[in-house]
Amino acid sequence: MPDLSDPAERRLALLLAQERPLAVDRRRLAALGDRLEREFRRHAPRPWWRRHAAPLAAAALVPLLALPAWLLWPRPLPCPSALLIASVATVTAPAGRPADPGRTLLPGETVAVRGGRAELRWQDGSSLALEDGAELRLDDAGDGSKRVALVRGRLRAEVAPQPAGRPLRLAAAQGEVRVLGTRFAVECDPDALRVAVEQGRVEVQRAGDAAAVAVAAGEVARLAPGAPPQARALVESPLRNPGFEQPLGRDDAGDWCLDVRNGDARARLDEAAPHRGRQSLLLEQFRPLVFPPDAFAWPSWQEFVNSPHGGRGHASVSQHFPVQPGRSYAVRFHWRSQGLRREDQRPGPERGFVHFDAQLYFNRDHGGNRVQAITLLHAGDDAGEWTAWPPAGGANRGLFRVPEGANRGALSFKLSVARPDCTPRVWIDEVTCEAVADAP
Amino acid sequence: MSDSRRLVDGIARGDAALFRAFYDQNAERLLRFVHYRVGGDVALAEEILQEAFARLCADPGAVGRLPGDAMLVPWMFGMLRRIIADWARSRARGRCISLDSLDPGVQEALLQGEEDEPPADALAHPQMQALVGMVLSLLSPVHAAVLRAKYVEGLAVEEIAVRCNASAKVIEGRLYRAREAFRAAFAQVRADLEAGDA
Repeated sequence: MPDLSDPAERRLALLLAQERPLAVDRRRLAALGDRLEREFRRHAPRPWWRRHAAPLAAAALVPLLALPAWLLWPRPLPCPSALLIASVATVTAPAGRPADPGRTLLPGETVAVRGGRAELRWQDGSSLALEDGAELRLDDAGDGSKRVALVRGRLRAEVAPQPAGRPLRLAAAQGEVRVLGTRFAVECDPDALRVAVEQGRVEVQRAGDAAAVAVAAGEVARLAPGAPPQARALVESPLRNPGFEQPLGRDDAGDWCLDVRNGDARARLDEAAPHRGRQSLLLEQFRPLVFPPDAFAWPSWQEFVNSPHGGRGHASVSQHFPVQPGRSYAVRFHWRSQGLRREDQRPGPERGFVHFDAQLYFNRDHGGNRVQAITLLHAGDDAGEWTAWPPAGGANRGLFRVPEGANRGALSFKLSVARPDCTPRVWIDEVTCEAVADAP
Repeated sequence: MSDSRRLVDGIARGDAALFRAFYDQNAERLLRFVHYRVGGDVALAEEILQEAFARLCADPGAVGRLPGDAMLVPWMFGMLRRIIADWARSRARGRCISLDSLDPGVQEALLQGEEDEPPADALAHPQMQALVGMVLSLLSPVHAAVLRAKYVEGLAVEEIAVRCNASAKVIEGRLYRAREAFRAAFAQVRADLEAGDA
């Protein structure tokens, strides 16, 4: 027994008695040890006899081959792990655990960016800047080359020159991007992979059939089911505020313009569950329409929808932008909805509709004559989850040529309501309208 | 050449088996230390442990530059302290134990002399348990075991000697060194917290 009359012994006994056992998950710890051991082997300097024995033997046996043998002898592989640099502290790592700036990411680990940005940087200076919403896994290529898998979202890559035969490979569900040293941007949606190259050249290969296309600086390629991979010249988008990250503007400022006809319908920015970024555009009927009790029995449909006591709710947002006649523009957006309903004109309790429309207009001069109106989407059924337009694999690729005589384009999103007792909502996000070099 | 020097040199040379052996022998102890330092957040402790070993993996040659007979475990503890300090300033702010965050009784127990009895209300405090856990994790497993046998289980020196298959004299010497190591580790933890290092 300790001598508890000795104050120092007594203090020691009292303190030690406070120890509480900590349950350590030894399997997790062993798994971490396995990964770290692999990482260690990659970086470990090779023993001198392994570095020199073979070349020396070759030199002794075949002097003429000594130099090529030395040159071809494999060198230590470059570092496949990457340093994680985050501008905000809300990056999450594999098991949803927060990850801090300065943390080393090991092969097999995933970074999911939530509410901020993150950057991965390798020792050779190559870096991937991940935007909010992006999810990326660092893979083990097995040959020392850099390999990442983009699960979703956007990133911008700046890749230092890579060793010959060991390009950086960026894989996604739709295909793979191979790069030896360049600057490019990648956007990965569930239905398409888009690669825009700023400098250098990358190869984009589609999963499945391995159809490939080389994408040069100033070009963009899109991988999607049903369309062959193709590189097109990239032109800056004429749209402003395409992700609705900034406040809605005024028409004369060239930004999204509010056009609310009915006081109980409105358009506003919404921070709840945007497709990407901080917020999305929300069109909503925030107070139910009221119809005369007998309106559902009126024989006239027009009379019903133009009822002076309630009638149609309508909220829309549009943006005007300059376009070049003869040039084609690729339009895309994402949307989801609650409470859409197909039109039913027949008298009865089901009478009415809740529609969402997306339209593209080509006009002559701002506020001038309409040259062409194109309905991109007319929806009476809900998209409960974020849905891309144009849909993957559909006939419509979202490419439109500007007709002669038009020099202004306009994109419009509209919620129309002619139903009582409902407050439908439509969210829109990530609108793009990019000029492309070729015709549809 | 000592075992610790051989270990350091072997890892610096890239001996993966030695690296793995070092990890297997010390990861749990290092994890316990971090766990207590970060206020019981196991996930955060694992991240910090991984980060420390990842840094070692990235530059194994660095340990070869350790002077003389310097040991790898204290070097790893030092690296963990630096990582914790970095993280405490960023995302882990407010989650790591600091002197200011301690209960007044626990703070008193930490700062009082070696012969002072800790305040009774501080002894059962979770922070006190964390402090003791931190100190014990800094000790070698041999020293921690002999202290537990003596002061927690209440075994006599002879009984510990039988358990350890050693002579009573050896155990007395081991106990002496373990007490010294405990005091040094306690002082180290106190100094870290006073310096705002945790």
